[in-house]
Amino acid sequence: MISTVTRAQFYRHLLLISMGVVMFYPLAWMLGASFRDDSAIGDPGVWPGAQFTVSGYAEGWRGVSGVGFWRFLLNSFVVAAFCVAANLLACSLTAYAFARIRFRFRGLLFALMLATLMLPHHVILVPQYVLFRELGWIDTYFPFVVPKLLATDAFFVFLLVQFFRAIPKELDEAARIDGCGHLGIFFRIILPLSKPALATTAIFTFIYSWNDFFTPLIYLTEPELYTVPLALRAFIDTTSNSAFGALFAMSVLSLLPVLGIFIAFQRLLVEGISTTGLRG
Amino acid sequence: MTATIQRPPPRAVAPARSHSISRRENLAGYLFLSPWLLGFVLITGGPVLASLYLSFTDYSVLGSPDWTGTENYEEMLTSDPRFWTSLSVTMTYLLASVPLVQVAALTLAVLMNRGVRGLAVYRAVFYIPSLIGGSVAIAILWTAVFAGDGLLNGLLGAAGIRTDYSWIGTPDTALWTLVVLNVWQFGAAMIIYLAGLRQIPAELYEAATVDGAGPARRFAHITLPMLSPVIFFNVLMNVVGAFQAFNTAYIVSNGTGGPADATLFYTLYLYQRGFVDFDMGYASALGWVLLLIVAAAVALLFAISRRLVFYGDNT
Amino acid sequence: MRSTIRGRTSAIAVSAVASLALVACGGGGPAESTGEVNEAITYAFWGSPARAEKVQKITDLFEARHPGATVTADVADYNSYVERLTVRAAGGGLACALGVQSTFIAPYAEQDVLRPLDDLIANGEIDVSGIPPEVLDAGRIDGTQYMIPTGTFSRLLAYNADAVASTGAPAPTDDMTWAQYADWLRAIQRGLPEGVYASEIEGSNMFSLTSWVVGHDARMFDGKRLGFDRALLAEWFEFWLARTEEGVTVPPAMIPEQSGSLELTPLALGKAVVATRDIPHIPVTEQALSANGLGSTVASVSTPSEDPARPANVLGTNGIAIPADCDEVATAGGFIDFFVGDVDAALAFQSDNGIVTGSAAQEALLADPSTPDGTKRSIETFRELTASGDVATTTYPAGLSTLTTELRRIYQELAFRQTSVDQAVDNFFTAAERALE
Repeated sequence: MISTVTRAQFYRHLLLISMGVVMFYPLAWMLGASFRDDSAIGDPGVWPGAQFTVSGYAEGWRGVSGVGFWRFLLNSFVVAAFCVAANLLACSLTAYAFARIRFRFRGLLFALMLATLMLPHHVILVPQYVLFRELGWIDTYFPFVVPKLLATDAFFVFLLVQFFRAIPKELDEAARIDGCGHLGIFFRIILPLSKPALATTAIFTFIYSWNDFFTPLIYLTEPELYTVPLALRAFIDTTSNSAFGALFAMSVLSLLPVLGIFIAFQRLLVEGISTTGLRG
Repeated sequence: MTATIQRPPPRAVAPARSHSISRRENLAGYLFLSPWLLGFVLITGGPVLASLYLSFTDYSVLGSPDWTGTENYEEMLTSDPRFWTSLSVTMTYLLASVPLVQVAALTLAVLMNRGVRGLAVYRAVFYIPSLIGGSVAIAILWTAVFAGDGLLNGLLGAAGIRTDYSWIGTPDTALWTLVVLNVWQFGAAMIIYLAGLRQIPAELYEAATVDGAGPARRFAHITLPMLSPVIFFNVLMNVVGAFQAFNTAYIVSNGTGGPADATLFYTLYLYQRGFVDFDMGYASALGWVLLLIVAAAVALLFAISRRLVFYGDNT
Repeated sequence: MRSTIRGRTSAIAVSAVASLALVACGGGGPAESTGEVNEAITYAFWGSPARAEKVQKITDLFEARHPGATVTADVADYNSYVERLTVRAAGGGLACALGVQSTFIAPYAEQDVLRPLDDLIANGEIDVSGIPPEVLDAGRIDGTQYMIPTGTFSRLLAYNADAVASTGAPAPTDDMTWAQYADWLRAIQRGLPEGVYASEIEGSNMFSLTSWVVGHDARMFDGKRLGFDRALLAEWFEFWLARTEEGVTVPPAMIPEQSGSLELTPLALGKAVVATRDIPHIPVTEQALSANGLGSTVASVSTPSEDPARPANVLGTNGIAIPADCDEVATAGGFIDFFVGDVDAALAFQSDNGIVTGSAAQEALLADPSTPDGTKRSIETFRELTASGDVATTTYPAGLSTLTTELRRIYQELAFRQTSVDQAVDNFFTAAERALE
C-alpha cells in the first residue's frame, strides 16, 4: 500500500517537473540569449558558452534615441500604478452599488455590465480611437487610465460584486445603527474585509497594464512616452542593424517586476479568487 | 474570510420593485454607479453606436466619413476572401486551443492540489509563460524552435525522425505553432482552477472514498460538478479572449498574418484594414460582425451551461 | 435613457465629423522662411539605436554651427514609423524635419501634408548643387520638389563572394539577362553543399518585380494603375516557381525570414548565396556573415535586365521633407542643407541610411580612414552607377506598402499551391485596383 502511494507521488512529481522544464525553457533561453553575442542569435540552446557578454545589458540600458531604458520602465510603472489605483477605486464603488444598494433597474444594469465583459474590444476600437484623437489624447496616458477610472473593466467589477455579496449583511446593519450611511459602510466595513479581492484586482491590473502592447501601439507615437512592450520593439529595425542582445536583456529586466509581484503575492491571489465564490 | 456562502447566479437577481425603494437608496445607488454609467455611455455604449454608424461609411483618417450604406458589409460577404480566411483561422484557433488549455489547466491543478511539496514554486513556474508570452523576444524564440532547422526538428532528429520541415513557415502548420504558444500559457487558467478546487469540501471526498469510489469516479461525480461554475467561467473567458486574440499573431507574423494568411486572426485583419490601410469604415463593419459572432457564441455557451453547470443552491 | 445615449452619440459623431472637416481642410498656406536658423525643431526618422546615436552627433554639430537652433531627434523602428505617419499627419503632430522615403511620400504630397521646397532651393537656403539630377528627381511629385534626398539606395544583386568562389562557378557580371541569371544560379547550385541554396526567392519581393518590369521596358505604375500587362507578371511568377522547382532557391517556408531583420535573412545566415539587397543593407549583411564565419565579403552586381543597355537597378531615396504646417521653416531648411552638404555631418553619419547624396560628402567619406570598407565600396558602386546612368527612377503612388504585402501574400499562396498562376495574377491586379485608388 505504501509503495503504491509513493510510486503515484513519484510519477506525479516526475510529470510536474518535466512540465515545469518545458514551461521554464523559454525563460531560460531568454536569459541565456541576453548574455549572448548578437551574432549567435538564432541558436535555440540555453547556454551562452563562449559567447558570453554583458554588452546586451549595457546597450539595452542606453535605450532608444537618447531615451534611456530606465525611462520606459518608469513610464510602464507610472501607467500601471495609475491603472491600479483607478481600477481599485472605480470598480469597488461600482461593485458596492450592485452588491449592496437596491436601486431601480439594478438587475438590468448589472446584466449590461456583464454584457460588456463579452464585448469584443475591437468593436469600439475605431470610434474610441477617433474620440480620443479629437480630445487630443494621442501621445498622452489618458487613453490608458480614463477607461479604468470609469470602471470599464467589468471582470473586476464582477469579481468584487461576488466578494462583497459574501460579506454578511448584519455587519452593514450594525454600522447603520451606529449612524453610518452607505459611504461609511463602504469604507469602514466592506473595503477592509475585502483585502484578498482588492489585492487580486491590483495584481492582475498591474500585470495586464505592464504587458499591454496594443494600447500603446495605437496611442503612443513619441518615444519618450513609450512603455516597455513598445520600446522593446524598437530594438528590431528591418532597415539597419537590430540590437538582439539589447532586446533580450531588456526583456529579462522587464520581466522581473511583474514576476516579483506575482511571487510575492501569489498566496493572496489564490485566496482572493477562491473566496469570491466564482461558483455562482 | 472562510465563509463561502453560495449565491445564486447573477442573472437571477430580481429587479427591485420601485415602491419599496426609497428615493435616497435610489440616489445613493446611482451616485456610486456614476463613474460606471459615465464610462458605459462615453467609453463603451457611445463608441459601440458610433462604430455602427462608421460601418456604413467610407472613412480614412486623412478625410471625413462618406456615407456608403451597406457597401462595406456587401464587400465583406461577397468579395472579400480574406474575411472568410480570417474567420476560419480564428475559429480553428479557438476550437483547438480552448479545450487544450482547459484540460491542461485542470489536469495540472488537480495534480497539484493534493499537497505537493513546493506548490508555490510550481505555481510560479507555470504562470511565467503567461507573463512573457506576448513579447517580441518570445516571437524570435518561437521561430528558432519551429523553423526548418530549429530545435523541434533537432529533437525529432535525435528521436530518429529526420526532417527539415518548417512548422512556422509553412501555411499548413503555422497556426498550430500559435496554438501551442497559447496552450503554453495555461498557467492563468490553472490558478483559477486551483482556487476553485480548494473550495470543494474535503468531507465530500471522504464520504465517497468510504463508499468505495475510486479516483476516477470521485473526479467525475464530485470534482467536475462542484467545479462546473468555475469551468464555465474559464471557458467563457477563454472563448471570448480567443476571438480577440491579437498580440501573438501580430508579433510572430510581423503584422502580416502570414505565411499566406495562415495566421490572419480576425482582429489582425481588422487592425490591418483599419490602421494600416486606413479603411476605418470597413474596420468598423468588421468589428460589428465580430460582436454578433461573439454574442452568438456566448448565448450558446449560456444555453449549454443551463444543462451542465451545477450551482450549489440547486438553481 | 436610450434617447440620451443616442443624443450623446450623435454629438460625438457630429463633433468628430466637424473636427475632421477642419483637419482635412487645413488652415492657411505654408509658412514663410525667416531666413534665420535659430529655432527649435524636431527631426523624426526611423532606425535602430545605433543609427540614433549617429543622428545625435549630427544634431550636436548642427547646434554648434547655428547657435540658438535646437534639434530634438525622434526615432522609431521602420514599421512603426510608417504605420504611425498618417496618424500623426491627421493629428497635426508632424516633426518639422520629417524623414520620408520615395516609396511612401506620394499620398502625403498629394494631400498637401508637405510643404513645397522649390522656394528654399531657389533662394539658396538648401544647396542641392552636389546632388545628381536623377537623384533629386526622386523627390519631385508632379513637378514640385517635396523631399530633399539625403540617402539613396539602389537594389542590386548581392552575393556571398566566398561561397560563390567555392562552387567553382564564375563571378556574376553586370549585364546578365534573366535567362543567363537562371543558368548561373544552376551552375552555382551544383557546387553548393546540402541545405545551402543558390538564391532567396525574389518572386514575392515588390522591388525585384520592379526591376523585372523596368528591365522589360515597361512601366511599373501608370498614374493610379499598374503600368504593365498580366502576361509579364505571369512570366515573373513562372520564372520563380521554376527556379524553386529546380531546387536553386530556398524553400517557400523561408519567405517570411527574407523580410525580417537583416541579420536573420537566409543570405546573412549562409542558407542562401545570392539575393537582391539595397546598397545600405549590404554592409549589415556582411557583418552578420563574417561574425558567423560564413563569408568575408558580400559583393554586388547590377540586377539582371533584358536589355543590358537598359538599367534595371531601381533607385529609391530616403530624404527629409517639411510639413505644410511647420512654422520653423528656416531652421528646418538649414538642417536639411546641413545634413546633405556638410562634410562633418557626413563623416558622423557614415551614410547610415542610404548613400549620402551630396558629392562633397561622398568624397569626404571615401577619403576618411575611419569609414568602414563596406560603406566605401557602396559609395563607389553608387558613384559608378550614377556616372554611367545605370539607374532607373520610379515614382511610387500611394498604396505601395499595401501592395507590397499583398504581393508577398499572393506569391506565398502560389508557392504553396493554393492558387494557380492565372489566379495569382488576377489577385494581384485586383489588389492593385483597390490599393492604388
